[in-house]
Amino acid sequence: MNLTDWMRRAARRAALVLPLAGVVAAVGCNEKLDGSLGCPLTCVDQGAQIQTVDLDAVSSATTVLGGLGIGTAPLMLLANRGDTLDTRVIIRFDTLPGISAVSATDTSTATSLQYADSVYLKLRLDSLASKLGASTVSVYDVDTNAGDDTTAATLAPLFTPSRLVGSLAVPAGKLVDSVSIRLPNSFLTSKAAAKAHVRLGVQITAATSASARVFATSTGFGPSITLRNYPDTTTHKPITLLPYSATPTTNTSIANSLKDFTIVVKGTPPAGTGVLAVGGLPGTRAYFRFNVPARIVDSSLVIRATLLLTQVPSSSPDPTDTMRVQPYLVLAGPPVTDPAKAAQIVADTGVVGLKALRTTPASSGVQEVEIAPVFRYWAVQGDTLLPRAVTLRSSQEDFSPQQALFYGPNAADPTVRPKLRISYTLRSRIGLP
Amino acid sequence: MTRTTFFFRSLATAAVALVAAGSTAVAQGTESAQSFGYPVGELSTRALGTAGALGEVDARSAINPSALSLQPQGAVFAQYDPELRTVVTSAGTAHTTTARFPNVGAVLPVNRRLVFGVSASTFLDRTWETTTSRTQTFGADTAVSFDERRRSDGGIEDLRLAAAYSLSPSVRIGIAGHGYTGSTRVTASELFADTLQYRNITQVSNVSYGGNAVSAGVEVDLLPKLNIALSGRKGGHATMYVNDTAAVHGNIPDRYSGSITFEGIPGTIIGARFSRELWSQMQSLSINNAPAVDATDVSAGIESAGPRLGGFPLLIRAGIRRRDLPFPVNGADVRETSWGGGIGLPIAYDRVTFDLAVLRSTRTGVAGVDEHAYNFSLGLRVRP
Repeated sequence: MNLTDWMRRAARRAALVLPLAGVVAAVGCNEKLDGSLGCPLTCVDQGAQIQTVDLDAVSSATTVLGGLGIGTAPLMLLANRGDTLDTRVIIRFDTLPGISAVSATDTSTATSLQYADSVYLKLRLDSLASKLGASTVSVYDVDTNAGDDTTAATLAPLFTPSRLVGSLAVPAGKLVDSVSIRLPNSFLTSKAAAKAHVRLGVQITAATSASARVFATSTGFGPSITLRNYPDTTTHKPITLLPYSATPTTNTSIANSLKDFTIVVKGTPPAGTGVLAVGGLPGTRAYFRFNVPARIVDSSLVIRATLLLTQVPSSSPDPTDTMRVQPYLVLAGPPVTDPAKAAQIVADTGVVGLKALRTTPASSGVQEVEIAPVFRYWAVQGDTLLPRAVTLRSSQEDFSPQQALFYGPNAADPTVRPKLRISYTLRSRIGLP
Repeated sequence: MTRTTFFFRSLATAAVALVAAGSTAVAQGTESAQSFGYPVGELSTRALGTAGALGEVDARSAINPSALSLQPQGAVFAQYDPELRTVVTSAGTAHTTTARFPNVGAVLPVNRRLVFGVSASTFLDRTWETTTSRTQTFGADTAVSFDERRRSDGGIEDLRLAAAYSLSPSVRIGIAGHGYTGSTRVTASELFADTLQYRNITQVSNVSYGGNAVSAGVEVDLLPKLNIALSGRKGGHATMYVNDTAAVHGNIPDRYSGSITFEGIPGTIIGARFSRELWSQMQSLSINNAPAVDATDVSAGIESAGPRLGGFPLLIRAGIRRRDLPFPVNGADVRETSWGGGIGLPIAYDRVTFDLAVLRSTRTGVAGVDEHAYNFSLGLRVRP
């Protein structure tokens, strides 16, 4: 074979193979299946039959106390709003530094807190939520051995002039993100000498009203006391005391929560008969049990489920400010018969995908709470394992006085009772040949 | 004009038409994929190059088992058949691409008379997707728009075990057992723009099939250059399972077909084929009792040796076909007309054959719908 024949043959083969390779490359393996524009003329496939029904599916509902327990809220409300609201903050410093200078002139080290200077109680505030006019923040010594020292009934009477430790005047018109209240130096040293607890009660007062939210210890931005335990300012830096509760000694978890907490001296009034309350102080939740037909829960796909609630105007503070009422899927099984406890055992809203209702305490009329995502869980677990229950709570539970009131299933007027509107389609063999 | 001249002139005309049609192609769609799907035809790339005319006498097509003994040479084969489909309606033009691997198998000769064959071929392909918009009232929301997406992916496969025997140099017979299997994943979704208020829902059905059939065929050389082939398939019971639960019992459709081929021109085979498939028997397998109609398939084609490559001829093919599709669209029967051609390229001293076929198909029957497709087929046969 000479070179010319070889080149001619190679060219001929290339002329055949290259188009084939081109076809393969052009067509490839990528499928593109969407032929929607052929519809409806060539689409005989049936659409889903979607039905919408309104059901009196709320079998029971009750208002229960919210929160995970005293001292668990991330913010503590410090409020004084005339006759409507009075809340105070309790902070425990049950341990004090074990060393200090002996005195201002004797700088040798003592084995207890005998010297203290520049003592301040620092509170960090949620500046966006503060409503401070000209007001005064006062600190009281609320250490006591009498009664239950976590309740307002025991602690509120201790806010007396004789127990006043320090105070700070907050001027009007100032955006405040923290306050530092000067405490007497001798207050700490005398407590140390007496081996007593430093338990402080914080109260805010104003000519009209004032409120602020104090970050709790659990947020990492909680209250603290700063002081100098040595007189020299060059080698010894100021030290910081963080809240600590030594009691109860039998339960460190509860003791941890009691580092700082709120007491409600005067809270929002309880809801009336036939009315459910969400929010307020102390924080409450509405617990709903449903009786949904098994045909819908087990054999259908729920597209939308709306809990229709008729709201009653509330006289709680900030009546025209927006509040968020968040629905939660209750995970507590049948053994948990107490609604207050069942309302605590809920699924994370981010996981379930429940959207909050935005309303105001003064609103009225029908409100819609979307709960369709809970049906996904109800469909895979029978009601013997997962009761059909949802709880509503304020997103600012225990640190906002705002309260939303809704008529319950026992309301005298049947038209205002809760209803469940469900849009669903029965599971079917759509698209099969 | 001699027949050879006529053939090459026709081929050239077809090639020009093919290029012209390709440059103006505007449409593709789902007129052909109703109910159980599109009947791919169980034809090899070689047979598709003749528009199916040589399917009856082609060992790689799962049609007539006696064809296995025509050339008792061991071989394995596979093919890839993408379809570029266009559907034009008043709503617009939809272009889709469906990739299929519709035929794989082996020819296993025992001796010069007895040949076995095994193959897996696509009987019906049900692969499509549509998304349509819909508006509905939900309580106080009077006009909620959402999309309904439907997707089907899969089909029914034909697993064939066949045997052929040469009774004499001019008479060959064959018999085959068929097992029908395969699955289709059907997804139905309702998709909302506002997912905070409305939940998207999806229902998935896994549809699988089980069925059987037997087929038999015979080939007779009536004259030294004239061959006639006849075959038939007797469909057995079939069951459709939905999510592993038997949902419907029905039948695999019967088929009878025949072809005549003429090899009087050296290096050239001219053939014509007729087939009748009783798809209406399959209607009972439909969960919705979707209608199916018996279908006639008629084709004619030619395969001719072209220029030689490495001492072996390049095969050039052409053909035309007209057939009924088995599943009507809203009561309207659908017909498919295909024409095209292909080549067979010998490689490695003819131990490997690379086949290419291109068919231009037009599907008619539904008013307002204009459906066209290019059916490509790329086949590979390897002989040890």
